[in-house]
Amino acid sequence: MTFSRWLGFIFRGSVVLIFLSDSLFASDAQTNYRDQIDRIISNGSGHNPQWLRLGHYKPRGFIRRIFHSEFRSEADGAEFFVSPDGKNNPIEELRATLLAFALPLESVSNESNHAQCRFPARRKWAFQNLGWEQILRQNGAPVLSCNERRAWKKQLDADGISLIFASAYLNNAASMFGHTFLKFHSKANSNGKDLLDYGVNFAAETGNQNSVSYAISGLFGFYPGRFTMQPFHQTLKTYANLEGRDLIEYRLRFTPDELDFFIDHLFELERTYFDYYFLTENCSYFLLTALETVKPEINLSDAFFYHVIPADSVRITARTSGLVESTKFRPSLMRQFRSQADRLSESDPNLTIPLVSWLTASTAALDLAIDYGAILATSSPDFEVANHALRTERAKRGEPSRPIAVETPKRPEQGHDPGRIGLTFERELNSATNGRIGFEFRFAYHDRLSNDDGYLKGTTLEVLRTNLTHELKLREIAVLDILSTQPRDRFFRPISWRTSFGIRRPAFIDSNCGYLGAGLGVTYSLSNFLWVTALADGELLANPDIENRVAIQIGPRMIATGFLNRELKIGLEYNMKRSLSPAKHYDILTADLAWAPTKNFELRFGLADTMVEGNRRSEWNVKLFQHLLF
Amino acid sequence: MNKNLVSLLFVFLLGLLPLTSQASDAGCGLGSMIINENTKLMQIFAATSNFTGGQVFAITTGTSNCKSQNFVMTERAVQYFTEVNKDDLSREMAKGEGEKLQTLAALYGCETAATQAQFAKATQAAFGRILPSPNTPVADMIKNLNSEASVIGSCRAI
Repeated sequence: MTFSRWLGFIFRGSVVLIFLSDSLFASDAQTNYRDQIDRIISNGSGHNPQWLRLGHYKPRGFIRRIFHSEFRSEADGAEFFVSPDGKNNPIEELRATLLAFALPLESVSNESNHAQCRFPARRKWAFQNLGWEQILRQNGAPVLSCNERRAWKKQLDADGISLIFASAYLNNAASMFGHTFLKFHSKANSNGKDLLDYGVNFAAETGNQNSVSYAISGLFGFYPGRFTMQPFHQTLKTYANLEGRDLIEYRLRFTPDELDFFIDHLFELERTYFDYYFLTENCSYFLLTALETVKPEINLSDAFFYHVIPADSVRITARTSGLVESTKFRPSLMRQFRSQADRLSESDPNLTIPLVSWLTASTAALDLAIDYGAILATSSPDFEVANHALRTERAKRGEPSRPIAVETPKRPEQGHDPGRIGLTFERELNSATNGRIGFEFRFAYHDRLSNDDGYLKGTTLEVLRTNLTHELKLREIAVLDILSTQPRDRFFRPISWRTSFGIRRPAFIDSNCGYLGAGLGVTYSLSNFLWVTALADGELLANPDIENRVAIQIGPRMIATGFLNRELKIGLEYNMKRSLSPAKHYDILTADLAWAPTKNFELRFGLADTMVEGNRRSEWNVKLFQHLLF
Repeated sequence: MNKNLVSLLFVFLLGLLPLTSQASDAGCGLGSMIINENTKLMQIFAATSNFTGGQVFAITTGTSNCKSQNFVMTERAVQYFTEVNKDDLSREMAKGEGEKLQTLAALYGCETAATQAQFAKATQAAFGRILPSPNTPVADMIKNLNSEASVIGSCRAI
């Protein structure tokens, strides 16, 4: 929170205090209100679950709990609170809100600024659950109609709501986390015009900054996150088509009253902001907390981890019984192109760049070229002229194209859960030593040998993968491990890459090292069942026991992945590590067979061969994995 | 593992992305701005962080002159939609088919599937006049669209 925001906060707080303490109320009514509020608060309504959700209050951390009250709101904009202490004190906030509801209309410049119209969801809750409407009427206070808000709602004309998941972007492993936003369905657009519906997005307002401060600000919550509304076709443009992401709409089962209440609550939220923490309090989290206000019986955001990842918020929503009414899949242009290209390329093998060479092709091929050109144009302005020529030619031929039928892929909730615990056993070949038992824990998300239903094929994205010995000693923490492999073909030439960092014990030294590795290369698909990747790879190791404390090792990394079927995969990997510093050279060769007989259970058999300057060590291993949602 | 170290490493990795986020007021609609920003790196960063750079609409304060109370004004609906979806519309007009083209037809008053198909057929036939050059501005595109009697008439044709 910036200094000026603090000033604003203090200023507004003082204004409210002055309002509440002066003689705007007739003294009888005022005493009456205070008595009623005392009664309401002594009934525990200040900590009523729905009141806490409406104020976005969460229990506070352990240490702070000793000094102040137990709750703190995640909302950071001062306008969201009536009481100057509202952020930290839900009881005071309730007291101040109820008093503000009772203020005469003359106390504000126009009706829309009155608390009853600024906090319509709170008002509805107080009227229905605390009997506050009756109390207001008995004391001659107005019950406002809030015409501006009414007109606004009428224009929105919502009769349903969907949670929308923008799924993985091809060749970008990090986007496997996805993005979520909401869409209001409007009656007026039900007849095939749903692009004109309105979407509600929660995003950080970043302004113009360079990348470093961008990232730092995002991590540490310096950006205000706000709920914003724009036409769905515009959100679609931002998040789906250009990035090649598919969309899945989960229509939520809301009664008309619940929907109305939710819109009212969004109306309250537009006045505030939330400090946006990229890793914790992000788009996914705040959409869930907003949805929860409507249905007190459901609990989406309380679990410690999963609310952070959009795909997981979708998973938890889909899993909450009775919440999802139906789903709708909206393929990206990239997916439409792919499904068309697979069919057509066999019969017409000449489709290639330059685009204009397709001008004389069949109309079906021309359609394909037009989609191809549109995809190419999203990353380069060089295709405008060629695209226009193709389109002009296509238009001259007349006849509408046939809509493209696309196979619907599995949704995130139909795939394995992202967390994983494992029991491992490994033993050296040709050795009298006993085998070793170990434990594995992984927070998220997927590795390339697991069943890829609902994930991106050939991609690894692991967060906090931790391996322990049977004595619970640390063997490895991979803080982040990403491998993105997408095969190159005549249409697209994606780059394959990997990056990982954490702590582990390399083969040549008996001590834990910090590591930071990266690789860049290419993948080819030898058939749909076998992908081969070659990366130029390097790793930086840091440890006080290494000579010079730092070692750099480089060498090729070859990866082969066999997709035998959905449940069965084979992985081969060879990595040559040559040291640029005094540390030892070594080579690693691994082979793994992964079998996932059920959605969340997986069994792996592996062989690992390590050669440290002529000393060879071979071992076999068995791993039992259970996927789960933490 | 030291938490700060993790953060620093992470920042370091993100810092490698040389972003150029130039938010200019795109007038009516965000379309052109988004396309300008759509470099490969920007995509990756946006996909990773779910940040949106630049212009963001608040619910009641429409910052664009096509919106009132954050709703697209009815009389500007065609302009707004076309500006955001210009390239998709051009593609679909050429092919004579598509969801965005259907929506545009609906904005012109073609409510039934038959009239929407008629509209698509008319825009396909008039493609060279609606989009005479690769960089026909949106305003001209709409003007050309409105001067095509067959397009405008297609909603009444059946």
